Amino acid sequence: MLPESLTRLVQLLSRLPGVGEKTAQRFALHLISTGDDLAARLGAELSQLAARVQPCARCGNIAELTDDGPATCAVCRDTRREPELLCVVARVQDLLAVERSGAMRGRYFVLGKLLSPLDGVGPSELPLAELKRRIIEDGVKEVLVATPPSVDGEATALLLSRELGDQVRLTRIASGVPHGGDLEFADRITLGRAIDGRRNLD
Amino acid sequence: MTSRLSFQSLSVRGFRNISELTLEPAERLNVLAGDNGQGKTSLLEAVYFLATSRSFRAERMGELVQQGQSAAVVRAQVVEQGVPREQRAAITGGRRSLKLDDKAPKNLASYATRTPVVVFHPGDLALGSGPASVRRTLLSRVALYFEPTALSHQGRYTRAARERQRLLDERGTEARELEVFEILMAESGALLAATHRRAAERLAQAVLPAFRRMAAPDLQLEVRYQPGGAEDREVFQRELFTRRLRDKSARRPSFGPQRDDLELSLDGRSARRHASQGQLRVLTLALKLAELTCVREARGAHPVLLLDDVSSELDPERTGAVYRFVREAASQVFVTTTRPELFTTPELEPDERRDFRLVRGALERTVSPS
Repeated sequence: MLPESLTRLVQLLSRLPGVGEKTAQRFALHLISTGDDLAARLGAELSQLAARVQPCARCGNIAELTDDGPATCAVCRDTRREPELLCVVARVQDLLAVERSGAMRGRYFVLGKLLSPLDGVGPSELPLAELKRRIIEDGVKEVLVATPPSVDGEATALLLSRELGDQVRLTRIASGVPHGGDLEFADRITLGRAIDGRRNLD
Repeated sequence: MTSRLSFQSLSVRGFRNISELTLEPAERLNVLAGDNGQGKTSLLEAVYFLATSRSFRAERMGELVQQGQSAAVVRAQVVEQGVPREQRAAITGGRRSLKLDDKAPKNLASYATRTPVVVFHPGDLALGSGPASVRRTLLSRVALYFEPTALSHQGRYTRAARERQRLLDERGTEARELEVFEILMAESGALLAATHRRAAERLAQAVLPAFRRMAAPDLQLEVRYQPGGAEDREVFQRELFTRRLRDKSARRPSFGPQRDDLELSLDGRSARRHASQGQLRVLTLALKLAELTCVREARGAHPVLLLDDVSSELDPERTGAVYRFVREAASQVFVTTTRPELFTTPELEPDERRDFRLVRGALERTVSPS
């Protein structure tokens, strides 16, 4: 029913996360009916995206390519960061979440995947050599492992502790009750895990 | 204080042999009559699915979707302490989706314990003499209501166990990352074992009074938790380590709470091997009543009871015991039967009981026998 090029566009848009076919169609129709040059500007940005934005050569964060050498992200360029503290995350999204907290004063290392034999990811598929090199090059003293508290995230954290344990101090993010909330409103699973993972008061 | 809980309306679509059906149940007793194969059990199963997100008889979720349909959907309005809520459970494309008041629940455990139900069905007769898996289901159901974290321990344990099995399969018993998954299995497996043990202790306590009411007065019942794993993480991990080769060839772990059981003995002898048919029935019934007691205590509400064709498996005396219990339980009850005329409930007010007849997956209201 739709022209072929529009159908192609709808199909592409619906491959985006959170976008179903109806939404994709709404986007496509909006792009052709809107008066301004939104479609043209969007197209121009998209066509250059892959060339301009690349993973940071040092940490894997998203970075903009410049003329002077490999892409380096804003965090790696920021000279106020503590080079001795390195936060290991699974994905760029997780890096952004940790960054939003404002609590992280060091830099990052994005693994890109988690240890999971079921998904075909073994230790040799993880960038462990790059991570070790980074630790030596930057003189990292503490690695904060911020992989998710899922089985694969914990497995990856444990693997890192075995691989790096004698090189550097390793720490793990805590899991438990959200800040500012009353205990009575915490869901039972989270509260249960906070109790299971209780620590000494000292 | 125990709160009242009941289904006010129920609608079922594309579920087993039920194309479309809506039901406005009575506050107390609902009798679902019909010949075999007309959808009585499917309707109970739909209620159970809505409340627990599971089935009490299907192996795979896909079985629940009616042939030729893309989705199975069950919706209900449930009222607890006068406060109504909407629940919706569906299977689409082999995936389960759950909604509580139009919102996705925070986690599976919070959904699955929200509307407590207890089902009695002929398959329960395997509780006394059948495989351990039947008794494990009972243990995990009771554990879930007392400790909802049990479900998350279970999920983590199963995932870690599958990862380890895949490693044993593909990389053998020497892979260095095996240790990592064995640590995680030991961690959640030990926590899961502890929830199973505590659930067994609660069941053991609740089963005795129910058993005494029905069994011969001098018969001694003992219910004990028989662990398939360990509650000590180090012991658990060591066992996994020493069993790598064996587990690799067996293609499943030989240690862990997936092998838990409840040991039932009568006068000191294993019920499974020595009990008579009559004793096994009484034992089964007592265990189900204990489940009911445990769920009620844990949840602080009278669970909805689903009785599937109970009278066909029990003699009139035991059937009488079930119904006496049901009356005392103050729960909303759904029963299926091929012989509704056997149900007389003089103690109920006329509006406390409704009768329905199922014919080829469709429902009609009938007159209750007085």
